[in-house]
Amino acid sequence: MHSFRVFLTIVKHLFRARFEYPGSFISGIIAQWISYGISMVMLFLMIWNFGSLAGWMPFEIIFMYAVWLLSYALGASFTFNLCLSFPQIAINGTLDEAYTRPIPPFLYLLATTYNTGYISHVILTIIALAVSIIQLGISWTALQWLWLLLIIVCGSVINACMMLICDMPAIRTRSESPTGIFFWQVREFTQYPITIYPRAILFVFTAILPFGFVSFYPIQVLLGKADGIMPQLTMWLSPVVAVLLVGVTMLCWKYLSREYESAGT
Amino acid sequence: MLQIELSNVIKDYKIRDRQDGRSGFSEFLRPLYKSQRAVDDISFTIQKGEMVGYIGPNGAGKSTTIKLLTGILTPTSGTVQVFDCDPCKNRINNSLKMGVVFGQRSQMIWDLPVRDTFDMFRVMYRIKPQDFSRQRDMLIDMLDMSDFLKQAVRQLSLGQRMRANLALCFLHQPQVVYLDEPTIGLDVLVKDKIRDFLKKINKEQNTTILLTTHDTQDIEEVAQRLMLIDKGKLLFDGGQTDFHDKYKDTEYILEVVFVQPTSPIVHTNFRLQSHKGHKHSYKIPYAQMSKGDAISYVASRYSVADIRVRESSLEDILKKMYER
Repeated sequence: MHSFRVFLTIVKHLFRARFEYPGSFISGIIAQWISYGISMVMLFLMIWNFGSLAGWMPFEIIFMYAVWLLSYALGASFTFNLCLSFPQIAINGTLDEAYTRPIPPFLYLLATTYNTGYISHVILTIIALAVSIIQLGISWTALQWLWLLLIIVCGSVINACMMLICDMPAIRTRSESPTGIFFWQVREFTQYPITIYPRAILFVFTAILPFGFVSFYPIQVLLGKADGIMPQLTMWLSPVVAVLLVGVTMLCWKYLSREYESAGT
Repeated sequence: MLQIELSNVIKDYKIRDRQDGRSGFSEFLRPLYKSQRAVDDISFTIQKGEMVGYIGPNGAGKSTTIKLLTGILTPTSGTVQVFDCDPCKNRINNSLKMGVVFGQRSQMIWDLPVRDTFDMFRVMYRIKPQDFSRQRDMLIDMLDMSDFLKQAVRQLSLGQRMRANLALCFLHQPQVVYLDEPTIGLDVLVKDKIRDFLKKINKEQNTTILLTTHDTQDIEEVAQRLMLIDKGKLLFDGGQTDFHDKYKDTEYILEVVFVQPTSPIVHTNFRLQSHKGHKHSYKIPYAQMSKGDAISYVASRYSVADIRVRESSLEDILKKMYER
């Protein structure tokens, strides 16, 4: 509980520090809106022309894209800057500082490197979510709304953990991570229903790089869809995947930080 | 009360072994490593309230020792005990009771005023509101910080930033404070302020302070006890006067300026070094004649305009030791 309070305090001050430069803060937000807004409109127009994509209607795709992007933004706001700093973290004393603070070092790193810029993605995707939900004429039960909330949380955790796992080897290589590509480039494929890909790729996004669980699988529950390939149970597995990934991330961190303690600077 | 105990601590780093004659290709395919000893079989204890100066040339192992004490690094062998615990296994408890400043590394939020970082530390170190405002006001007063408290950290001078960093590290009233070169790059006035502050807070709050420095004046003014480390080995551990007695030259130099030209003094203990008109200089062994005796001997027999004793300073001694 104490660590959580410290975390919130640090993030609060980071936002205040960001507000010191209002021009840069606001122009950053607008730039992201334009960039992702155009992507969304293009995606919508394309599907609208085709009629549907793998059985998904245009606003269903927008809904899925919004959940996909929101989960990324929330997850990456915690991990983006940290991942950028991994190559330097053992050299420039960042880790030393984290080890001398009265909260778990990893949590301290997550807090002090929080990226306030993702607020722009969050605002944009919430608007897109609202528009698509209205357009789809959805009437959900309270439990379904709760499920939406849960899958956004789980999706954020999956994104954050995958980014950390893929980029963490940079602590050792002290340069780019050799596995970084699996997060940054490969993830892009999962903004569409992954059933449009061959079975082998579907398998990869389910069992190896589980980005399918960010939006595609769990959304089927909400939109009453069935992909007809995977067992029905798959669409309920996002929380399990998220918990498993947290475990893997912690193991990776344990392994790499042990190396640091014995190797020094 | 015993606070810090190191017994037979060894710390090895793994470093690249780049041998002559190996091609870049084989370095790439099969890099070789060797281990380098940074701390070599060090043992010492520190009691509550002590002020210890930890000195040694660059690369001697000072910072490594501090990293072992703060729980950042684990020793290769031997045991480190701080507050009767292994600092690596009890990081959070250890960090609540200690403060640390690493040279010029800042721990403040760059774009916000210092007082915001104070607030962040209040939450982080679970400081009670009444303790917080008392300690904060005291530190601001002692370090003379009130005029730059509302300025963004990025606009502060190095001296102001250093003072703010020190204040932060004492904010939660730590029992032990480690300072790794706290006066590096600062002007004489700020250095003085910091030394006075350290002496005062050590006296008032009985804080144990271990500081590394290359500034011998820091040591002379602040540290009662001195530890000298070189190539990872602890060469000396004891009081400052003991250090002088052990390592200073066996002779001192007496410089005399006579009122009129005088022929050299003839005395078995006085060894003439130079004489130019009024000004003479002699070497005298400590063991044969004390400084007082020498001065009164000269003053009682001659008319003297000026008289001065020169003996090896801490800096001279260190220079000689480092050169060995």
